[in-house]
Amino acid sequence: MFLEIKGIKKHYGEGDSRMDVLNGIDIEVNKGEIVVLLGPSGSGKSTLLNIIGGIDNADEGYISINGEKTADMDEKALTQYRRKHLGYVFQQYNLIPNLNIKENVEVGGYLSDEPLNCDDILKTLGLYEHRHKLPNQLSGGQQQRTAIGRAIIKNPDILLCDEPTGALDYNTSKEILKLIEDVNKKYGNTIIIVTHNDAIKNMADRVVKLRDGKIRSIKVNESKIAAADLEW
Amino acid sequence: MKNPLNKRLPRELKGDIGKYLVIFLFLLMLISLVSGFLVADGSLAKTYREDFSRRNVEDGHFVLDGEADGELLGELEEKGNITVYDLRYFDEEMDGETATVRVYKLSAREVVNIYGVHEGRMPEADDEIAIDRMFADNRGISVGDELTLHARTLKVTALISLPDYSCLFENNSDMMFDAMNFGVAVMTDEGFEAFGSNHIKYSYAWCYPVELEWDDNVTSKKYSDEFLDVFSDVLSDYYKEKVRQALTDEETKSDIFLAMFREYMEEAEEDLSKYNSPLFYGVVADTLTKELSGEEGKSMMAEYFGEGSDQILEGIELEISAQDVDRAFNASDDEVEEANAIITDLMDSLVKPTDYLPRYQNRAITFTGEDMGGDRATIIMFDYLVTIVLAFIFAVTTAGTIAAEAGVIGTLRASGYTKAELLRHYMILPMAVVFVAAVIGNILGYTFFERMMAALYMHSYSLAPYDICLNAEAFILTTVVPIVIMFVINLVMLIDKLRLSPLRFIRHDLSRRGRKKAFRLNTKIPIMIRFRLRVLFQNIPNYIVLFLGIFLGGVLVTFSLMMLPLMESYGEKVLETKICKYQYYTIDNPETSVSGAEKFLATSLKTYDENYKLDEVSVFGIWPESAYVKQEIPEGQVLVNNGLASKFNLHVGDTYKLKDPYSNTYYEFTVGGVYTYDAALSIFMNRDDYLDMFNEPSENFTGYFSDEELTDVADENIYTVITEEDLLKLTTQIKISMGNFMYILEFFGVAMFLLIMYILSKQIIEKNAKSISITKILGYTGQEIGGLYIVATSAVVILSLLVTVPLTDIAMRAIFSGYLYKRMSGYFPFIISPWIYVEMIALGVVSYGVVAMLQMRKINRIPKADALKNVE
Repeated sequence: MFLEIKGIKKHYGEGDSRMDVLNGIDIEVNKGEIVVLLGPSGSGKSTLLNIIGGIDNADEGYISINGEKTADMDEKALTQYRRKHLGYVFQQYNLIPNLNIKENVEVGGYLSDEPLNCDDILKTLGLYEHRHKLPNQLSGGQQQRTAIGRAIIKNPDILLCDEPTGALDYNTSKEILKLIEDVNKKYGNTIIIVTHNDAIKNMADRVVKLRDGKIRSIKVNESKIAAADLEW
Repeated sequence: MKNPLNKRLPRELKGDIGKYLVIFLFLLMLISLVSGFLVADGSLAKTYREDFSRRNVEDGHFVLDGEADGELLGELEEKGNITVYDLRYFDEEMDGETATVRVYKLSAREVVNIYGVHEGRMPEADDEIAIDRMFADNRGISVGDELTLHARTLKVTALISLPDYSCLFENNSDMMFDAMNFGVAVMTDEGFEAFGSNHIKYSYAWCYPVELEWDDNVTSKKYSDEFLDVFSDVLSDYYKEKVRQALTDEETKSDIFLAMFREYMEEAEEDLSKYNSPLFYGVVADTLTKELSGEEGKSMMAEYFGEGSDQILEGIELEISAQDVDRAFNASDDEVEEANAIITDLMDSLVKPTDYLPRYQNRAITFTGEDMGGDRATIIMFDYLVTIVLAFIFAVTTAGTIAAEAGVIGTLRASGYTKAELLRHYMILPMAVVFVAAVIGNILGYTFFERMMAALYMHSYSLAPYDICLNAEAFILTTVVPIVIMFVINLVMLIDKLRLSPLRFIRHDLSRRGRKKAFRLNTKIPIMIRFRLRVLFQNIPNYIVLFLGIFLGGVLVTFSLMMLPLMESYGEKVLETKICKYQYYTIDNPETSVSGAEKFLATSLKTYDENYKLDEVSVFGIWPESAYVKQEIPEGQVLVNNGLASKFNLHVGDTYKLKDPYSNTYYEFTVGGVYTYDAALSIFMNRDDYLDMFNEPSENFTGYFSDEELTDVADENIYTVITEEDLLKLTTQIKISMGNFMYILEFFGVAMFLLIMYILSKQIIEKNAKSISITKILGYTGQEIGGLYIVATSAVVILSLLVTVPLTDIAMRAIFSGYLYKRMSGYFPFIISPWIYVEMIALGVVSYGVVAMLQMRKINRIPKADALKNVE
């Protein structure tokens, strides 16, 4: 098993204000799979993604990638873990505002010993002609594509996408989902997408439904739909 | 309803407490110090001025070579319309020390030049003494200690100050005061008498019935000149009367004749011996008697009574009787000796003046007043500059807050909040910080710092105990002005920032020229370097303020570091360029046979350019082919010394005017060259030109240049001697009085470095917190992130420090020529070792090192979750 999520529990606050966000999550993900974490607001999906991404800690349980458990890692090792294995795409893009598009992508490439070719990625993402622009000169879709470029340039084992289409319109959202799908096909990365958009589950290999910090269902998708054909 | 936005102010304060606290503390320090200085300066200056009346400071004093009798003093008081006080004193060296203590009687000091007690109680027993506070401080003497003067051990009961020695000049002719080696003291009258000093000086202070302003030299001179005429007339009359009285006594008259006649006879003995005849003696005696009664007699008397007695004997005729002649012929040697003793007693009883010094010329009294307040302009300028930099820090950081809160501002504006409401909101905290700092700063200024600043003055001057005075100017300069500066700069920035439309705020589009375009950087430059360059360009406004702060801090640090070494170097230059080892100022043109001694003429004139603090310039008349001033002086022109040339920007061919200090006479000089002489502002001219210009008789001279001591010139003919030690007193005193002030400046400079570096690098990191968070999530290590965000600032700091060096050099030269030289009397050259700049850079780098460590911690503490939030 490439990615093992075992017994993850997480709570915030104490006493009366204690809120158990995750209550023992167990998921297994194969390499190259697209996994969609689906659930309403407050279901714990983003928290789970952050724990997988090593930017938040679980109270109990562990994440294991190829046998490496994040719970055993100190801050330094976690940094190396993210550097080596992960790419991140956020709903709010989180580009570095004072770097141009190409530089934002290169910031990701710097972390890899063998980064992919930046210009190729920019061309693939349709950003090549915008490469000298600052993020605030681009549309939301273009910024999200840049964020994807930044994430994939180091060819990460796992691409974590937190509501990647949450701030985008319908068409742009589909474009981005198609891009993610293309990346998966082209580079074989494992992709975990957090979303509350039910339609996106159809492009996944595996769909994990969460509610109140618990897994309601895990379903292997027998008949995937191409991202371009998704409708909602 | 109160503006609900105000509720977030305490949270904003708490959230950014580092910034507000640092700026608050810096402002507090600044305002406390400036307020303390101005209050101390104002209070001391007021006390100094008021003490002239309150402590009945003399209008002048004269010193006689013996005790004046009541008759003489009564005449002086009556005819001079003055009050005379007996201010006799003695000078004794402290045993085993180089210091001299001048001791006065307590009773006199209770009515004139009244003492002020700083600590302890005035002496009550014969073996008790009160000594000058500053002298005691300098020599480590405390109340209760003992000091030994001329083998007499005295207990120190009080530390005092005497208003006629606010500046401890031992002699008025000294180039500089020396509070380390000269002090004044007071003993009880009985203790004074019981001390039995052999060095009593009969000094008498006088006061006019009207109070003269201490700095009104013209009126003071008028009064002094009038009194000097009276003084001279009264003394003359007094001498005549004394001699007349002596001559009315037949026995004394006979003794005088006897003594004179025998001397005359002894000189003529050889000639007279061959005429051993009573008849001849009779003829000679008759002739002599007649002659002695006339002009011949007068000159003989003058010769006999000694030099300077012409005035005493003027109008006195010696009427000799036949009995006197007989007695003279037949007197025994013992009788002659006795007669001589009577003459000596008579002459000794006629007290003669040895010093006359009106107050306006007494540097021990006036120097302090002239020197006080010299630092005011420096301090005020410093206050303004620092406040402006702090205001810019606030402006830049507030601009950062506005950028960060753009969405909120846009929403509020869209909801109906006015620009003015938001402007007020963002103004409140900076203004509150300044206001609170001003209030507390003034409180500290009036209490702790006032004492500290007064101590700086007290380190140089022996001032009386003083009362703290409320000072409206200090309030305006330290409270109103900083508040206004802060208000205006922040207001202008906020008006500019808040004029954008709500939509622009909501879209975070705060660029005034539409969307900013990224300028291109060569993609061959490694990404990390490009990243740093982007950080650099993104924060240019911060870096400009950072540079300004570093520059200002650099100037302060450099100034504080350079002054003491400058004084050392200046001292060396003074010695290197001295004219001679001994510069004698003489009285009554005494001749000397010491080889190498060369006469000179000298006078002192004043500058009158009101843009500068008035200076005294020594004008020398140099003998042809001088062995001491070796540079040729063109006829009709003068050599100005390098100090005068630099200070007043004089060049060959320029004309330069100086003023007689006590009249409205001006003298014009044409510069024929520059002579290197560092000890004092001076002009050198040919003797003949000097005699013409100042209408001096050709036989006159002022003194001698000599490399040997003039052992054959009597002490009474020497007004003063300037030696190497005297030349160094000036630099030594400046070092002592400036020392503490320089440490304060250095502290402020380094604090400025720390403050500006801390606040601005903190802001840069806060501005980029989200980007830092993203890079953390992406997998960048703390070191790499530090490299991105701290290295850019480090580069700016180092570059600023380096650029600051030449700029500081230019600024220091401008400060010296455009400011210091105008605010201080005298001159010292601008000398700065390159090591001072190395030290300044090192201090800057160390300061930044501390700040960088703090910022590195801050970077490490930025949570990765920041990137996940849509924070406003």
